Amino acid sequence: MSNTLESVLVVGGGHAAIEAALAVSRVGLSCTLVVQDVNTLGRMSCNPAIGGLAKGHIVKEIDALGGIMGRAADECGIQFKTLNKSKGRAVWSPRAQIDKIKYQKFVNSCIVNDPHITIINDEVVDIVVNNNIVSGVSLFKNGLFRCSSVVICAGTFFNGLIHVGTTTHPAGRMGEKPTTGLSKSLQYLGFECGRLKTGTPPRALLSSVDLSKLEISLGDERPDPFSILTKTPFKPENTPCYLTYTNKLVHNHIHKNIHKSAMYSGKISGAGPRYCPSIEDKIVRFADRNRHQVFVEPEWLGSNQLYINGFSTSLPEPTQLEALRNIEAFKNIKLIRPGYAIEYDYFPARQLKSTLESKSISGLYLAGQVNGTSGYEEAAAQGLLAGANAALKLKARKPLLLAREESYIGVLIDDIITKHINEPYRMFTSRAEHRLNLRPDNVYRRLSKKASLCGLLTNNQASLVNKKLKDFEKLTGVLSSSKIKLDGQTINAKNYLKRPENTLVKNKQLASLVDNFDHDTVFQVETEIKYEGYVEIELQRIEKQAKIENTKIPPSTDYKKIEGLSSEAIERLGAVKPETLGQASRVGGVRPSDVVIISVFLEKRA
Amino acid sequence: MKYNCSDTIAALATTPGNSALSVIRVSGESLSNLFFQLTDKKQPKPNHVYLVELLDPRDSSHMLDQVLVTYFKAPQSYTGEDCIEISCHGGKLIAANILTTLFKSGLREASPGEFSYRAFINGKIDLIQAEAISSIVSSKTEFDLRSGFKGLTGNSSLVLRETQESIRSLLMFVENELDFTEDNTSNFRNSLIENIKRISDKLTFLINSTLAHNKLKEGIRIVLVGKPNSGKSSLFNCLIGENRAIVSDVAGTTRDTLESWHEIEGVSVCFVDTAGVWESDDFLENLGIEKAYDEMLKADLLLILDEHDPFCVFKSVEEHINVENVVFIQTKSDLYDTGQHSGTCYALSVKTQKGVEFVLDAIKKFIVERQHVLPENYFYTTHRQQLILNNVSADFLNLINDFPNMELDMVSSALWNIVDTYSSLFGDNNPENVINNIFSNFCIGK
Repeated sequence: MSNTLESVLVVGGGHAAIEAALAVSRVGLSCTLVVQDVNTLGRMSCNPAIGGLAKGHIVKEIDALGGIMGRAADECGIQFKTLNKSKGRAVWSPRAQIDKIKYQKFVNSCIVNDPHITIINDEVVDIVVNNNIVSGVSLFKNGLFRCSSVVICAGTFFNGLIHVGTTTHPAGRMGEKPTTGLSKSLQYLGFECGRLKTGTPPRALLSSVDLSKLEISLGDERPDPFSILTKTPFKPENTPCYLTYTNKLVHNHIHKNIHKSAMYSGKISGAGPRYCPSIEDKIVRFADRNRHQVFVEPEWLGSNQLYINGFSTSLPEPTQLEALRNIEAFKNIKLIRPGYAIEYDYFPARQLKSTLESKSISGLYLAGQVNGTSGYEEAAAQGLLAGANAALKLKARKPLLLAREESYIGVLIDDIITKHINEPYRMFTSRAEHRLNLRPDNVYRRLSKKASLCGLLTNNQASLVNKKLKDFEKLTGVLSSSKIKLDGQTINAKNYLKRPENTLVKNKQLASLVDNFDHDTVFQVETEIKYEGYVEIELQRIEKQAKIENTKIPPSTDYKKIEGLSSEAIERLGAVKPETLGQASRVGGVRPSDVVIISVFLEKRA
Repeated sequence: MKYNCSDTIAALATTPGNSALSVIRVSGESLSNLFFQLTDKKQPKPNHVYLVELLDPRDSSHMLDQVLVTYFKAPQSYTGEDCIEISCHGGKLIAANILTTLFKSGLREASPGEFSYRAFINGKIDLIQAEAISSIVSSKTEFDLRSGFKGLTGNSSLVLRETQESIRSLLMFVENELDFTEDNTSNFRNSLIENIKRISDKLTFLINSTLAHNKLKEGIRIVLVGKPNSGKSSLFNCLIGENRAIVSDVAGTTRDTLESWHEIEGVSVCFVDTAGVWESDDFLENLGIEKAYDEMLKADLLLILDEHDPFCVFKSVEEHINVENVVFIQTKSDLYDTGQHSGTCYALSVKTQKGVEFVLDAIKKFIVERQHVLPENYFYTTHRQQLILNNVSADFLNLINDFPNMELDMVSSALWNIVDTYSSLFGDNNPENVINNIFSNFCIGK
């Protein structure tokens, strides 16, 4: 079997693979998507939600880069809520409850209807490499397949091993078989491999839960959509979710049976996420807490299945049931599927460049959970970037590189390729040192120009973005010359808006100025004014850092030959091979003085 | 100035000139071979002193001097590299010959501060310690030395690091709230601003303490004040133990201020004689009187002299001074006995030396007390450190001021800036030029 040489092959069917395939297509190349089971394409394997703290920021950025996740979430969301509302607009995080079935169908149709994408139902078992350049893959059923670029988005499927209590079985996700050949193939090519684990909570039968005993939790009444393509006014469903709490009885029961948990019996070797802990973890590590929140969420509209959010576990099924039944609403609970933990192979991403291409094998890209990250949004962002870069390289165009100071995705990629990751990496706003400028509201101003230059935006997207940018400029201009009367004094509108409680619509003198602008533009302009001074200070910091960020380190650099470097730095830098001095400064174990020495060394060479 | 860390450097570590001994220091990547060439000894034991005939590495038949030589193996050395210390005979010629020979065989002359720079680069010392070394070397008094040692042993680093730690944990406290908790911020904000104020107060205390310390290191100024011909210059000469000031019976003999530096109780002390303060028509004399007022403002201790009533003189100059520490002295007690022998006023006669010792005791007591009021753990800060601390403190005050108008994400950003500025104290945040500046203030061989 063969294909034109100028094509990209994407392995996988999850969020990363989908964004990768669509990005390749948007750049204008044909893409072959190899999925083990076409019926699972676009499936949301864990929680029925998209966005949330810091993740919502990523979804907005994906939208500004022409990705599909935001649009799909708007299309299939059944409840929308902005989190962190009391802590400042830079950390406001949009989140949507999703109808999983609708989401999968929507995403599927986007892939199927894309003329550049061909789906193959098969399994990649080997990568074919000539002189450190990818030349194709071996497919389990179809044999050799020639292509010039491969993007691997295999999620948790590499040697996936599911644990429920003390029983284990190999699987990629519950009910799907794992892949084994490809992981081995990568290791054979010299990739360093590690083991991670993650978990998912049980799914309960709706009719077995007493909803009247749960607190109702609704979304925002007038939410904003994620995507610029979503038509306003945006009037999505506001389906109730539910909230309850664990109690002492639940905790005692889990404590008594903790030895039966896969994670605590020492059966799992991979490290788990500290930030999305299992219920066992919560009870052991926060022993002083009397209760933990449990959100009960519908998996789709009209679903008979509930997602027990906050109760991720690898206890045996009977123990899960007995523990849950101590909660009043769950007295008669029945599980459709127990919670489980899954262990899988990952490939530490320090083996990749900031384009997500392998440092050693040209044309090979890795994206998503295989890089040690956790979460749909993190995976999708990497998929988009890897897919775009694979295609751009084949077209001999400049790569899409995102810097830490311009996007959360830039922070994500820089972190995973420089830092030692020993637990699944998830995004937080605190990981972004330039957080005040990385807001959901200014995402199009930050990223759309780059996206457009790479050809990632459709004409429609580009013109919507342009209108948004123009409106922003116009209203900013109007306000910078506006004055208002306040307590008998005339003050600049801008100064008035800097106070946290003041907004454009609240003030009658200003409200008339914004009549012709949409809600989003008004919000953007207002926010920009409020953060102006603080962002200015951040920009100064960025400038100071710019010199070392822009200093390139030749890949051939032999750190052993740089005199004065600490031995730890020599070892770590030798393993990571950072592309820039900025990256080098963030590699664990590298001291500021080491950075000075390398910089002196590079200057001498120059 | 830029340092290169890849070659072997050498320099004279002692003052050039006539002395019994001179010490030459060598530092570089791997020096066992050089040691062999210099001494004909293979595999030297680290930290052992050898008595050898020092040889020219290029011509082993040529002896340079009989020396004591010590080999230090990396990383157990001052610079963290291999080091050789050569104690040779003193005098200009011998050390210079040895150095010339070393340079000819490929070593490079160290720039000022380069040994300490390498120690810093190799993680042997932090910037605070580096600056302390510079301060020890330039110490003039025992007090300087003690504060230098506090810096060197890491004592001052420790106190400064403690504050850095509390600022960092404050930031983590905010980050945690931003990323991991549910919306419920009013209680949080209250406890946050309390914590911010607590650290800000601590910082102010730290700055004031170090200022008091710096003041002591820079020296205590003791200024003699009085009307013309009240005996200031006589007492000045008596206190400094030599005839510096011209003494005469003519009022207004002293026109300019005179300074004399001494070490008393381990601290630098500067005695300042001034022109007598009175109404004068003489232009030159008026200039002198202006200067006298300037000195009074800078004084740490005022000695107010008068043959009749020093308290009256005090009243006339009160508006020109800002210290609380004043010693009243009734002079010429051999001529006048005003009966003012109370505890607040000393009567003395320079002529008969009667009473002088009591004034000296009062001065010593003042100096000792000055040292005692210093908080136990405080230390000298360099100008650079003081600037950074002042900036951080100002940032804190701004933050406290703006807090009601700031959202939590803005507070976090302000704290990030503070942490960033603060870490430049230790050279943690890699400002290359700052580091190079600090080390270039060292003398060669350090």
